[in-house]
Amino acid sequence: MTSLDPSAEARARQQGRTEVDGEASSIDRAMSRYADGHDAAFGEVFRALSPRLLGFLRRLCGSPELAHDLAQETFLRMHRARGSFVPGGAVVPWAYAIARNCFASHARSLKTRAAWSSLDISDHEVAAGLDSNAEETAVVRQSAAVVERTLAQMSVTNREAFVLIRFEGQSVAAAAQILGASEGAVKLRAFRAYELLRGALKSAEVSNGAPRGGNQPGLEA
Amino acid sequence: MSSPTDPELAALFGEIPDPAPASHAASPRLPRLPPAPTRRVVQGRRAAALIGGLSWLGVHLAVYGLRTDLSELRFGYVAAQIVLPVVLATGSLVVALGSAKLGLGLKIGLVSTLALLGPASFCIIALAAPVPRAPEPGTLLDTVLCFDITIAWVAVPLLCAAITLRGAFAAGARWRSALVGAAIGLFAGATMNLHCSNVAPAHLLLGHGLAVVVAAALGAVALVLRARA
Repeated sequence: MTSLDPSAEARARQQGRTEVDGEASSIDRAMSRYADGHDAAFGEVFRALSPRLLGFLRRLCGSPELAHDLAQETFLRMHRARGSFVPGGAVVPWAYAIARNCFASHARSLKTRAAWSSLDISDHEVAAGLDSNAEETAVVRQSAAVVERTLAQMSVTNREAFVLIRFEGQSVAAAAQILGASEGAVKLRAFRAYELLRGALKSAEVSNGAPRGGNQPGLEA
Repeated sequence: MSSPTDPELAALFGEIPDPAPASHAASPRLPRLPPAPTRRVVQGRRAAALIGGLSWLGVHLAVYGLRTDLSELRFGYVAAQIVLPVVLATGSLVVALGSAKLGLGLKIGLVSTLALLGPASFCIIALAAPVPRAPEPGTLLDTVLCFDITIAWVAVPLLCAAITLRGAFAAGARWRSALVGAAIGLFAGATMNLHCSNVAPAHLLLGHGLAVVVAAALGAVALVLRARA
């Protein structure tokens, strides 16, 4: 357990925010240059956004391979729509919105539904079961598996609202803009997702507490 | 009970672990990029489309002619049937294409309200506005003819919008596309109100107003396929 001095924590948070703001405005400028026809600036945008978009899509779709494909598709769409990037606009929310559109188009297809149904969470389970000496690691992995599975089972609207706010660090207002919904609706969706996730994590804890011969029923597909 | 703020939500949601930490992510390859228009080209195309669309309506109005009773109509009637739709159409276009702080467009609540309000107001005014004189006995054919012409007036600007708004809306694309459709419909409806001297409410509703509704629906269903980024 670590206890941070509140003022130090606030300073650290402020410093982190300033760095993120600085980075964001630098990508925004690069995207703006790219929209104006400076093709070389796309590399900068690509390098800066790749990890974020991959993480976002990975959390949305649950499959690293699909996230890879969707990230490529997102960059392609960003390139095609570069002329519509508003001067002074923020590229991160814009990219998230396009990534979300890519995911939505794929989620509608049968192919993606099949990918979802075959979503393999056994990696987490096996790892948790085999590594009996690293109990803490096992618990973390197991929790991650429960979160992944619950995210996969909930509605896309709830999932994307929660992912944007919790994991991508977007404000409610920004998430609402990205999702094309009202702030109230986004807050409600994220809250619903949170309640589902919290419930799933709790029931997984309860299941683990009961003697079940090493099995983890909370993680059954 | 007050709604939780962003920091409160972050603290609350923080208890949920991340299923896909950043370390798991490997970079995708830079895709091969086909040619894409720059901002300047896109803005030029959009300006040309706007001028082309308005010219399309203007030229047709010039060819078909203004309604013969225009000088006899009360100001209130002209304001409600012609000026208000034009104002709403202009406002709708500005809102649909406007950008807010993040560059993702104006609030979706405003966009959706306008997308519904524009066509609805046109239809309500068509039905409820006081008739300036006793309506002439019209036929169904007159109404169908007006509807057909208004739809034809909508079609070309809508096509221009589809060509020039490719990938324009990253977020809220369906409502924004519906608003563009509604704006085009309102311009065409107002143009038809400037041309057709039939004052029968049923004719105004079905012959002119229905085309405005159809234009908004086409925006939401068809234009969105091109305009969504």
